[in-house]
Amino acid sequence: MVGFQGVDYSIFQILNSLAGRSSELDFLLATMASDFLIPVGLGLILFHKWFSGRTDNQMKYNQKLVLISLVNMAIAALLVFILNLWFFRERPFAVHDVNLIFYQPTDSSMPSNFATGTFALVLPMLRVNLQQAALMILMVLTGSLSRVCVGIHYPSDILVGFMLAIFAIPITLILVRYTNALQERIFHITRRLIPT
Amino acid sequence: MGFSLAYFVACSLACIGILQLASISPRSRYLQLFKLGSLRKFVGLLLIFASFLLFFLTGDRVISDHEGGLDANQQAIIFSLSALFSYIFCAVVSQLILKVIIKVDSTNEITCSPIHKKDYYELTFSELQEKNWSDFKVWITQYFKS
Repeated sequence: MVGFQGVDYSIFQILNSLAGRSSELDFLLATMASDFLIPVGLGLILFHKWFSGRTDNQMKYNQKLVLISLVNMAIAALLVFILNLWFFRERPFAVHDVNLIFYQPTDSSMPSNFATGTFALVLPMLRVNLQQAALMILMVLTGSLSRVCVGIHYPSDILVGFMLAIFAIPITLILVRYTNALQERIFHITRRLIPT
Repeated sequence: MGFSLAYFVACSLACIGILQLASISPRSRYLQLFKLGSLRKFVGLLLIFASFLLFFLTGDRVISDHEGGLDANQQAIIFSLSALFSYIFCAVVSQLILKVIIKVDSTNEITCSPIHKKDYYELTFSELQEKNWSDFKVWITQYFKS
């Protein structure tokens, strides 16, 4: 195995060698890689963002960012769906001898749905403040790398996921730019139901 | 407790915690469950950590959606429902205990912050939702008449 695939598999082996060493570390890795910890954590940060802001304008700006994040995630998920119509990559545990400490997903390994979705959710929020941005990026990286450690993704799956999330940004911005009136309507209704 | 219910309970607790942290902002003070700011912060953080511990330590949570887990769509729906539930819970309990008033100005811009203009009226959370409902009925009737 040479070239990019060889490097990819070598990094996978290094990270995957962390699994199976102790039950405590396995529990930690599996929990961080789970479908619940990082996505819910990011969801809670967005939920907090919706209600926070010192001034009216700041709050409206935050709420707009939350909306853009959700739209960006939906577009990134659509890109994954379209890509998977033509492309399927076997999971590492299906073709190699790995330390598997996670359940066996049946969908394509590349791109990582987790990495694409969470990174797409986080990207628009990077404009808020440095501390929060760093925390969110750290959460995404931790979750994504854990999924390599537990044996269900190659590092390149994560990388392609991140690239798809970045690719979704211009599409989202174009969509946001041409739907201003609709957004204002949504915000008007939302602010009446959820006063802030 | 079933997996979906455990997820709903954990998300609801975490969302209530988040709302207590957010209600430190004067604009969201109608969601306060306690008057004391430091107590809200403490309870908020406690609820968030407790919810994660409760969820992950009370059963095997690393399971596929084919084996009783939740797929991404189910997760999104349950998370949204728990966020809505926690929002209504905080707003209603806050109204009952602390009786926080929401200010609505004549252009229907709603805020909890001090309004300098004189033309606003004060409503509780439930009165505001009643007003929203009656305004919606008027709007929908006019829409179909025209």
